[in-house]
Order: sequence, then C-alpha cells, then structure tokens
Amino acid sequence: MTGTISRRIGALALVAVATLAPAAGAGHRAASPAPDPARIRTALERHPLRTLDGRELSLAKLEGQVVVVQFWATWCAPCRRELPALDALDRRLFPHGGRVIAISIDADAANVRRFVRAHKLSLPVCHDGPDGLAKELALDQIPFTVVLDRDGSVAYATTGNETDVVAAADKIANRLIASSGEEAR
Amino acid sequence: MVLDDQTVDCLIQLFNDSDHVVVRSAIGNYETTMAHDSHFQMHWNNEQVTVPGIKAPPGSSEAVDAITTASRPISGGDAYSDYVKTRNEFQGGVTHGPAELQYYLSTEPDYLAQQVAANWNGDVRDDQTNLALGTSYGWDSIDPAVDDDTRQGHATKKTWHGNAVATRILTPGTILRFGLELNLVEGLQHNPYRNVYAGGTNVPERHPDHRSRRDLFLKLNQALPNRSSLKFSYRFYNDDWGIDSHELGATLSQYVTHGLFASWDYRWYTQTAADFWRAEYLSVTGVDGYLTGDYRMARLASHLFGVTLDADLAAFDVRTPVLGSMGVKGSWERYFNSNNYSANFVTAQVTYRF
Amino acid sequence: MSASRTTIARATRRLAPALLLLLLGTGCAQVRAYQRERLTDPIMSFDAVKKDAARRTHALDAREGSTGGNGGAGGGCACN
Repeated sequence: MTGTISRRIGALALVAVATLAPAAGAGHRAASPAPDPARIRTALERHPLRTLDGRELSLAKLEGQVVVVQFWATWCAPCRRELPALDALDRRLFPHGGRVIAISIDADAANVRRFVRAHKLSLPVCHDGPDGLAKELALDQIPFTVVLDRDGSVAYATTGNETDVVAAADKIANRLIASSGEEAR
Repeated sequence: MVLDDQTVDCLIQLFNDSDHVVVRSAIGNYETTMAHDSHFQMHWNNEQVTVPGIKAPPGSSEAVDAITTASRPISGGDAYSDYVKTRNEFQGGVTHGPAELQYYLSTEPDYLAQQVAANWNGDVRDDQTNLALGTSYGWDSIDPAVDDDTRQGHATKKTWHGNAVATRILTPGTILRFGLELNLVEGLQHNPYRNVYAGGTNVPERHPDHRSRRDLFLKLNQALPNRSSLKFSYRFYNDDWGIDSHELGATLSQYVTHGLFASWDYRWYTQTAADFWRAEYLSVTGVDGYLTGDYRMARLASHLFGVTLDADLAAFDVRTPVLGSMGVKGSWERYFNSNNYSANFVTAQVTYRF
Repeated sequence: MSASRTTIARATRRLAPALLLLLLGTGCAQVRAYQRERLTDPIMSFDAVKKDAARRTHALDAREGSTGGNGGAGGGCACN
C-alpha cells in the first residue's frame, strides 16, 4: 500500500509537469498583447480623469502635446520601480511640449496619496480605481504604458514587465517632439 | 533612486517547552532588487539551544535526553548540567527572471549541513496559473561530540528533494495552491547520543539509513468582506518507514484598521507510528535491527493555536523617514501533543524598507 | 494497513487528480490585472507568509515525524 501511494504521487507529479510544461514555455511572465490603439485613444479621450488634488485632467485638453500615460498601482512592485524614471521623464519633457501622466488603479486613493507624498513625485498622478479605464480597456497586465503623439493617436503601447519600457517611451516621445522641430534635450 | 528596493527584517524568536528546552533565535533577512529583473536575498540565524540536565541515570530510557529534540552528548559526569549549543545558519539566493538559485549552510559543534537549490516558475494559461518546479541537494557532515555510552563516529547524510507546485487564481478573491514533494534521504538519521532500553539493557538508537518521504498539499486563500480572509491548508504525508500523517490548518486574518491586521491560526496534526517503533523492545536487535527512543516515530497527534499582530507603519501616515518605512509584527503560538509535550513560540519582528 | 488508512489513501488518490484538473483551469473565468489587488494583500498572499511558514515548518519538523507542505526543502541541522 505504501508503494502504491508513492507510485501514484509520482505519477501525479509527472502528469502535472507533462501537462503544464509545453504551456510553460511562455516563460516567467510574457507581456500580453496591448488593446487595440483606436480603442485606447477613444477611451482616453472620453474618460474623465482627476488628479489627486482634485483637478480635472482631460487628455483632449493636452492635444498638441506628446503624452506618456502609464497605468499603475501601489500594490504592483514593477510599477513602483518605474515611477521615479517616469517622474524624471516628465521633468525632461515638460519644457518641450511633452507630459507624463500616471493613472493609478488602486481601490483606495489614500494609498496613492501616501505613496506620492512619501516619494516626492511631481508628475501628474490620477486616481481612476479598478473599475475605470483599466476595466474599459480590459487590461490583463500592469504597468501598461501608452505614448500619444500631438494628434492624440497612439504611437506606442505595451504591457507588463517588458524591460526598459520607460526608456522606450522616452525615446519615442523625444522622437515625436523632435519631429515637430523641438528637442527635449 | 529606486523605490522600496531593499528590505531588512530583524526577528527574535523565543522557544520553550515542557522539557525546559529553551531556544533563542536571532534572525535577519535582507532582500534587494537588482537590474535586469534580478533579485538577491540573504538570511542568517544565530540560534542558542539550552538543553537541561537529565533527571535520571544517563543512558536510561527515563533520561530527559531521550525525549528532547535537541541532541546532547553526556560525558564526564556532566549529565546533570545544562548543555548549551550554538547553531549558525546562512542562506543566500539569487533570482533572475523565472529562475532562482540558493545556497544554505548550517553549522553547530557536531553538525555541518549544506544545501544547494534551484527553482523555476512561470505563469501559464493567460497568467491565471503559476507553475513552479524546484529541486535541492543537501549534504550533511555529522561528528558527534564525546559521549560516555555511544560510539558513533563520523557520519554523513544526503538529501535530494523535488517539488512541483501549481497556483491558480480562481476568482478576484480566491487563490488555490496544490503541490507534490519528494525527499530521498540517505545516511545517519537517528540521534547519535540516544540509547534505547531493549532486551534488558541500553542499546544505541538505530534508524534505517534510507528514507523516502513524500507529501501532497493543498492551500486555499479566500478573501472575505470587511477586509478579512480565511486560509485553509491540508497536507498528506507518507514515507517508507511506515509513517502516514495528516495536517489541517486554518487562519483567519482581519484588518483592525488601515495597516494593522490580526491573524488567528489553528493547526491539527496526526500521524501513525513507524514500522519499527515499539513501546518496549524485547530484544537488543529491535525490529529488523532498528530501535528508536524518538517519540516522533510513535503515533502522535498535536494541536497548535497562534495569534499574530502585523502593523505597517506607513499606513498610519507616520511621516518620519525611518518609521514611515517600517513594519512591526508579533506572534505567539502554543503547541501541544499527545505525548504530554507542549511548547511556546514567541516572535517579534521589525521590517524596514528603503 | 488498517481499514481507516486504506480509506484515507483511496480518498487521497481520488482527490489529487480532481484538484489537479481544477488547477488546470477548467471552467474558471479570467481574472484581469485590475481585479488582482486583493490577491496581493498580505492577508491573502502566499509570498507574504513564506518566511513565517518556513520557520514554523522547521520548528515542527524537529518535533513531529513528517515534513513538507511549503514547496521547498528546509536545510539540514541537528534539530533532531
């Protein structure tokens, strides 16, 4: 009976590995595909946003600027790691017609305020909650980063843990700004 | 500057039991995130074990050292004195993407243990399931201290471990984990200082040199309203020494206020006896050459109750730079089993994120 | 083996494959990123209690005849 139990447990282990291993070739956490760009643009244009200090922020009002938008949450460790770089990017882009906006999907705005205050972030941070834009866009992964050109069209969108997302967004934003005759640096 | 990139934990754990064994553990943990999706973690533990003097003639089955779980030698008339032993433990690991490598070392006067481990994990099936595979190999070097009535010389023990664990998100508030584990152990697996009363005399304890240990476990975490959760766990264990065991656990956690939660634990455990365990051995050869004075080889049942308070000072809007990045935790666990044995575990922990 | 052990062993053999199928996701709805906040809370996360669970397992391994349940082996010591 003891031998039978160990054989069954061993067989179960082999079944688990054999069944899941082919799918596991996808790796640690591959980025899932971003939503359709047209859908992203429509949602961002229509959905009202508010900053943490209560000011209304409309992406329609930012038309004419290059805008980097990142969806994030205080409970997402990779999101937290990217925020200082986004904050620095915002300070570089702002004098040259660019802006970075961080949209938090935390359930509790108090967590977001506490985080922004503790880390002295100066970029515009909006609290939209889990049932706002993130739900409308059916986001599978965060951080989710979008770069909008001066016309409001989506020039770049990516999800998840792709390395150097901020560097990629930086490069694309600067290229878009430069293509209109100005430089970010 | 990278936010919340590093974490340091410091813990003190105090253990005492009904046999007056006292263990003081001073534990530290350090973790940091590095570039390129990498992570480094380190753990150390300085442990001081005090085993009281025995209350019966050395080598007799009534001697306390037959039922304590800390090894102690007896020599030169020191049987009635407390025996103090220090153990130092170190573990380090590096994670890169889905893969992790770890090294473990434990050293004490009569025992040196080392282990290397490798783990891999990946999200599959649209990130709803995480599959983790792990393996480790441990090699121990045992050099018993001088003891009056046992002659165990240098010995070794090797352990190979493998596990497969699947974790599945069922709903936004429910997560399930299932795991299978296997341990193959070879080498010295009994207490080199312990004697067993058999056939009218004292004979050194002897366990088999080979042991195949396997278990399957299931854990379910369920979020409840009002910021609380209920966790259930079950483990079935079986080995080729004849021990089967069942463990059932439950934990209720509730937020008292923002950043402060309390947890209540209960654990029930039962096991069967090893095939070679006997209350009395009529012959010095025991059962197929094996004899044990270790109560852990006997039929056993136990209960454990615990309570924990965990506070994240950042959530209290503490604005000082250091306190605002700290967490504190305290817990007390009470354990007792059917062998008239009971123990207390008290732990205090401070965490700092920077 | 006693009748009760046989019954338990049989039930475990039947239970384990069913649990594996459950985990492989037959019929479970997809939980998206914006729905996962509660799962990262310390009162829900497996990772948050990993070290505590390992310490408890280590202490109980030295006091009972079995081991395991955390998905990894604890290292050796003379805690026996």
